[in-house]
Amino acid sequence: MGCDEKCIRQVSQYLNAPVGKLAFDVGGNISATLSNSTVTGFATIVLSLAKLSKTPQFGRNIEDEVVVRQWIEYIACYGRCLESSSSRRVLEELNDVLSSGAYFVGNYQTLADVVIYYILYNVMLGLTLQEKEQYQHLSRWFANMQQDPALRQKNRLLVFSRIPLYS
Amino acid sequence: MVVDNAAEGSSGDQQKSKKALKKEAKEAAKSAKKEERRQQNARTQDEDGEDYSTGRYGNLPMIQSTEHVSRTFTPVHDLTESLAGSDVWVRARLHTSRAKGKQCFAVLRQQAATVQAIIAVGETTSKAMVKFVSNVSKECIVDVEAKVVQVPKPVVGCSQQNVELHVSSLFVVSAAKPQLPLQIEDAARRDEEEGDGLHIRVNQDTRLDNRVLDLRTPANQAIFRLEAGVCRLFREILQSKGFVEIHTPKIISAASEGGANVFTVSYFKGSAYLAQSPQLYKQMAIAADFDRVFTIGAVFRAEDSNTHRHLTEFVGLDLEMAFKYHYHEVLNTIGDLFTQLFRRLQKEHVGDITTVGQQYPVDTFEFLDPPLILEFPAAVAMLREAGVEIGDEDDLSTPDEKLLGRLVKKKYDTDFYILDKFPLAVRPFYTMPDPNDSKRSNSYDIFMRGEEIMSGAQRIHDPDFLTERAKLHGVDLEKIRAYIDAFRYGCPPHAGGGIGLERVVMLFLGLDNIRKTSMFPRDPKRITP
Repeated sequence: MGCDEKCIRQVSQYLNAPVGKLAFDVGGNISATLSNSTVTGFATIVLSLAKLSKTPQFGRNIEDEVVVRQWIEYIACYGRCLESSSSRRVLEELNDVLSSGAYFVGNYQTLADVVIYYILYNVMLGLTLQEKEQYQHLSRWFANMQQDPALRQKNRLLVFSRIPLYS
Repeated sequence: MVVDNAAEGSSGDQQKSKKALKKEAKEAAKSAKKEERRQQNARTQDEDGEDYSTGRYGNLPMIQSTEHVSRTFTPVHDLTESLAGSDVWVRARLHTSRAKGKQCFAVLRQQAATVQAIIAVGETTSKAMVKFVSNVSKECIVDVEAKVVQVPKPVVGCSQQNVELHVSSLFVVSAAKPQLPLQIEDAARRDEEEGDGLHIRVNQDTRLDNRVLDLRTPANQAIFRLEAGVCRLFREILQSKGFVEIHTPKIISAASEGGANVFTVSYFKGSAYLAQSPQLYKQMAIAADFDRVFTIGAVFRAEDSNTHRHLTEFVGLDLEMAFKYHYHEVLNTIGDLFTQLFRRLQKEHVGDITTVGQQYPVDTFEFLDPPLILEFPAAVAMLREAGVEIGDEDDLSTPDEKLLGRLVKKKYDTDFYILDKFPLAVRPFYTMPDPNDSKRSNSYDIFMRGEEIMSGAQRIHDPDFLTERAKLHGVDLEKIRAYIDAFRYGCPPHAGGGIGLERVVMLFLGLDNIRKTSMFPRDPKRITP
């Protein structure tokens, strides 16, 4: 999938962990060459990149690391739903999770936040003001994440309003 | 199963006659049953004993104005405790009736008012009379003589809650067919999503096909009385500002504005068009020294738009005014017209607005005095701030307008605002351009609840400049020759605009469909009733 490739490159750039050539095999699985070994699968590539990065990406304790890994798996499974008609359910679910926390894992940024930001960018680009208001926690989180220029890279700064118009 | 054409033909006939025989047999059985039931009724009538109420009830013969009957009728909405103890005559509709042994409870309805009536077996009322009343079908018009009685506990289901009628005579003036295509109760019921109980909703198409019945509901009575109020106030307010009412022709020879959407009519040996707007004639009246004019009449738009806010025929309230030096003299007059209109509607028609609110969710209409006037660049800035991509000279699309309406509501707390100085590129050729900015024009749009109700401007009153602008827009000069000629003999600078009556009422009340505010709406798919 096209967005998988773009996401991996963006993650790689953010983490300062170079990823080699990305290739797709017959089954549609993406594979990359990292430090002389081929790694296959979106989740595996992302986790390997995170391990190579100098800044800690897995939270502050073992429980957090487990949750981060679960989120990466979640994206690997449901990421493609975001491009189809069932994107609503994924967005609602993400919105629900963020209603009780500022970030996806704990209260600090982890790899989960980074990857979800990149995966969600295209979807958020296409949301109307009314939908952004519907997913208010997701919008709040996204508006926060995109403030970091190192994370945002070439993505545009999207507009989020904190004044509810549709209630 | 095809056997043989000839054979099938004859067997087909045989089958047909068999079917016909079966049908006849069924009809015979039905009429036999009916006859039996009638005899049964007659028998039970005799069993009830002598009818001592003859003359106090029955079907009146058709009222052909045979005689003068001087009898004072009391309107149902006047039935209050002040009349307790007196005998009244009421002509109303039978809204509902419920028989229970020796009594019959009925609700009588007159326009928006309802009152409970009781017919009980007594000294002057026989069992036969009670039976007759309980068999009167819904919506029949009845003349009722009754005593007004005060009730200890308020009658919750009726508008006249403190009294009820004890009926002594009841006559049917005009009967209604027993099978009604829609029940008034169902049509008048509030559309509740949750809650238990029956949720019978009447479809809009059913309502419009049986408009005579649908219009009897209290909400519809209120909507159209409010609409009449809008028309009346429009006249009164403009007349107090020195405007003269004129009437413009609806059969015209050439499509006046942007010609695509006009209806053609055959006119003797040729054809003519139905006027799309009274624009040209309003301006001619100004050139004819009437200074300030308004006109209320039908407008015909042959647009194949099947939306909640478009009709092919609607009532246009148009005005045009000559000014001295600046078109804002006109804009302020129009703004003041609306402010006064809304204020007086909310004062003089508060009852109607409440009645509509009992069936449809109605938000109070908010407006500012003096009205909010935003300039187009400011509106574009607000939209861009909200993330909409829009060019400086672009027109506003409908979703943009709706979003802008919400942004303005949030920022200024008003449902009504005027947008001034539109880009010249999106306005018709007769709009006067802005003298200081060649990209803008002296034109304005007026919005209610985020939807446009009026598009107006200062018109070009100089024939040579008008010709120049028409050429720039690629308009065929031959077609508008009569229009340009109107300005050749001196014409004052003028501006104006027009609104649709139905759309204004719909947006004032916050209803969702324009067909609710048009008594017999016309759209691309409907030309009856």
